Amino acid sequence: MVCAASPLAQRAGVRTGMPLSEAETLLTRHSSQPNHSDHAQTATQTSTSSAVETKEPLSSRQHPRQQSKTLARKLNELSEDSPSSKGSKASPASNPQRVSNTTHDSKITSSPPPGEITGSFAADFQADHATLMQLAVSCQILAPIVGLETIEHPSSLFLDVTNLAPLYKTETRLIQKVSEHFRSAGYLVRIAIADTLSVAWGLAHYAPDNNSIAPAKSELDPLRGLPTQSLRLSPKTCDTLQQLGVTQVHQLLRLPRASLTARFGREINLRLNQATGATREVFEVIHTPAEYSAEKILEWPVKDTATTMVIVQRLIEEVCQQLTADACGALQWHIRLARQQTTPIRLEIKLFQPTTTAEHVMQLAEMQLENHPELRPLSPGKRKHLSRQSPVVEVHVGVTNCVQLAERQRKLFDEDPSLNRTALAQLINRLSSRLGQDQVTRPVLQSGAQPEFSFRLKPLVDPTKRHAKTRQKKSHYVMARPLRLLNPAIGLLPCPASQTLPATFQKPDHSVIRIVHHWGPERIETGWWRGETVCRDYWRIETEHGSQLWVYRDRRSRKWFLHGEF
Amino acid sequence: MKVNSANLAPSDASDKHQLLENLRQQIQTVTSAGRASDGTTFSSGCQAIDRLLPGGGYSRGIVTQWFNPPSHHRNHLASGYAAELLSLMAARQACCDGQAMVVIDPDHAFNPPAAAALGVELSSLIVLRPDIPNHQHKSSDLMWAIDQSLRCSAVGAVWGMVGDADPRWLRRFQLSAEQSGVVGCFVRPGRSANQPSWSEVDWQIKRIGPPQRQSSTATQNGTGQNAARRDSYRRVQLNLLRATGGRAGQDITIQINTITGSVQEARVDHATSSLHLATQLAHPAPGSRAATA
Repeated sequence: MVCAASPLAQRAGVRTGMPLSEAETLLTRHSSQPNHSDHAQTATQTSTSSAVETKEPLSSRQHPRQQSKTLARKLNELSEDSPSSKGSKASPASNPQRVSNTTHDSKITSSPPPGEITGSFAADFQADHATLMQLAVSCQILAPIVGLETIEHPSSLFLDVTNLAPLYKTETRLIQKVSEHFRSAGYLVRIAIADTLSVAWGLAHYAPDNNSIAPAKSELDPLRGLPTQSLRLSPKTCDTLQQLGVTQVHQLLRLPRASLTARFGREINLRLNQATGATREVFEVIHTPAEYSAEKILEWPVKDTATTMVIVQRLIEEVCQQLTADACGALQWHIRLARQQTTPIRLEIKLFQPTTTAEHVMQLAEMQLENHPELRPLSPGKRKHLSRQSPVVEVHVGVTNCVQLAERQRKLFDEDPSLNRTALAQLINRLSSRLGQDQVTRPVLQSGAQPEFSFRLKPLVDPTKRHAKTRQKKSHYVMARPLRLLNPAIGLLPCPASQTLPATFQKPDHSVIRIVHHWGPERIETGWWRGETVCRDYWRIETEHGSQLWVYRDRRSRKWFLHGEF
Repeated sequence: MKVNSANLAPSDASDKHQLLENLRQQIQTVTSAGRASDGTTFSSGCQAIDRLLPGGGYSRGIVTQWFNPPSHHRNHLASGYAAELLSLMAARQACCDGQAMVVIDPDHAFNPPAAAALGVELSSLIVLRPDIPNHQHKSSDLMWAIDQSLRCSAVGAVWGMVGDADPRWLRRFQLSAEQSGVVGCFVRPGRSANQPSWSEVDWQIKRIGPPQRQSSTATQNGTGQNAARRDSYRRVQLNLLRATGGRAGQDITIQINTITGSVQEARVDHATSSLHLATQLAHPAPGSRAATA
């Protein structure tokens, strides 16, 4: 179902609440009409928010989200194939005079359009912002200064392309490059080049063409035919202006500035001054993530272990200083000891919490070095020389994963001071470094009737995933399972052989289990998606010695197993 | 150490018990001087067990051991459940303030859903699953991991199965626990009960035969969940092998409901249980001295 449609889509007959299949028909019919360029913008607007590469036909039986994606893809194809779309891209190139006039001080904005057709998705502003940040970083190959608009939920990117046009020959080529860059990432964008941020923003959002280039020193002229929203006025101001019959920028410019200030405050004058360049406007520049690393090329190969470790410690301290300066903490370290005529020693230190403490990282590095397979001591107490055969010639220390450290105000009364989270994180780091990342885990309950799959053990140290401490729901059964499950289960021999619960069992060590009482069976039949279906009948039996055991009969193999004790 | 002479001079024989208690308290004060804990105790989760412990519960910064009954079979499952349950309850009580619990699971047999049903907070659990300690190197890794966990003040308790261990490691465990205030709750095989112990409290689990139950067709047929819950209890006898500051050698019979996980002192059933006909008349130590004099 169409939840929102742009004015241009509405001209094609698309209305909110209309089924997507019907909207597709209308847009297809509308695109076949000659000399109608509106649908191109509509298509572009739609595809900006959902770039889908699937080729399935649109079907009314599809999931609404899938229908929306399919429609968006179709609209993309329409916008690319339509002659008007091609014309809109070609129009700036057809006017080289305009291009040459804007080569000195210009801004490019690219943004998703305001009136896009969307499905019924919940807005995720954090994910949008993260994606926009990634796009901003990727745009730094196009322009050195890239930033976001300074509002709460930014949706546009600003590229400072001042004096960059000669590198691309023309501004049209520059726009094509930017467009291709986003297209390769799966986005269709609207691009505008202008002298000021305000004009570029207005053209990118409200110009009829996807790509616009404002003439140099044209001030507000490119915006004259656009609605007042193109000046980034607040919705309240726009509504008031509309009630007064002022809907276009040229109508607004005819009004005296003094009366506008008296009626609307400083907002309109500020926006007009920003558009003309009378008031300078800044935007937040996105910088590429810094690389934290340090290396030391040794003048002479070093054989002494202590000397090498001192060098490693100094490099770690140097990297920690870099991290501290940027208020970052490292989650993953990489240490490489290059040796003569042999493969280097590589250490990978993964941390539970980000840290900038050099001593702690050094402890973990030493611990890993002790357990390194090439350096493991031959006998306890005797440590093999670090580089007995091939001395170290180069030491490199780098951070492969880091995060911004968040300052947290400690609570005075609500937090138990004994809960030393830092000490716990250091313990987990130490245990993971020595035992292995997969050996230090935390249990997570999961739905599953089969006892072996009723929980999962996740490694605590996983720099790629930050897990939140969530309170897990308690199991609904009360001690219905043993505290320890035999892994693997021990086979039992029923005596006498029987398909039902026998009177005695014989264990592999020939000891006999005599059953005094029993409860059950509890049938578990599950796991077909893991391969063969598991069919078990569980019994709780009490032996003559007072033990309560948990045994089951595999209904497929007809064998009995001891799985645990209560 | 300067001991108050007034406490050493009982006015009459009736003050003997009071004198012993005073001496125990003074010894306890001296031995626990280096501990990080403030002397407070926490419950074991069972009032009957608390009554046998000095101070009415476990102190922080100690190591406790539960020894399974000696078994001739290689399968160490025999009556291991009671030791595991009681030790896990003690560890849970030690972490009631939100501290983390470290679970040592070398056999890869720990079942977290059952622990959650017992009230253990899984989000505060750290499960260590080192490889099967067949290799000397891996065995030392396991001991090192236990020691490191006992040294961390952010951990409330370390719980797990500790097989045959060098007494030097056990001594290190005790010192680490004293330093940090962490409680170590270890389940040990019965054959290790004769080894030198550095722990504060040692329990020996003794096997008791199944209780006599009335014949219930519901339980036999598995259709009566309430009947099964009522009858699914087992009894074990606990022998306090060692209790620093307390009286070792005491016995208690407890009853564990294997469905609900509740633990309580077993009620004496005069109709079915065997009882000592003669009560214990005197403390065994003075009696033996009198016999040899």
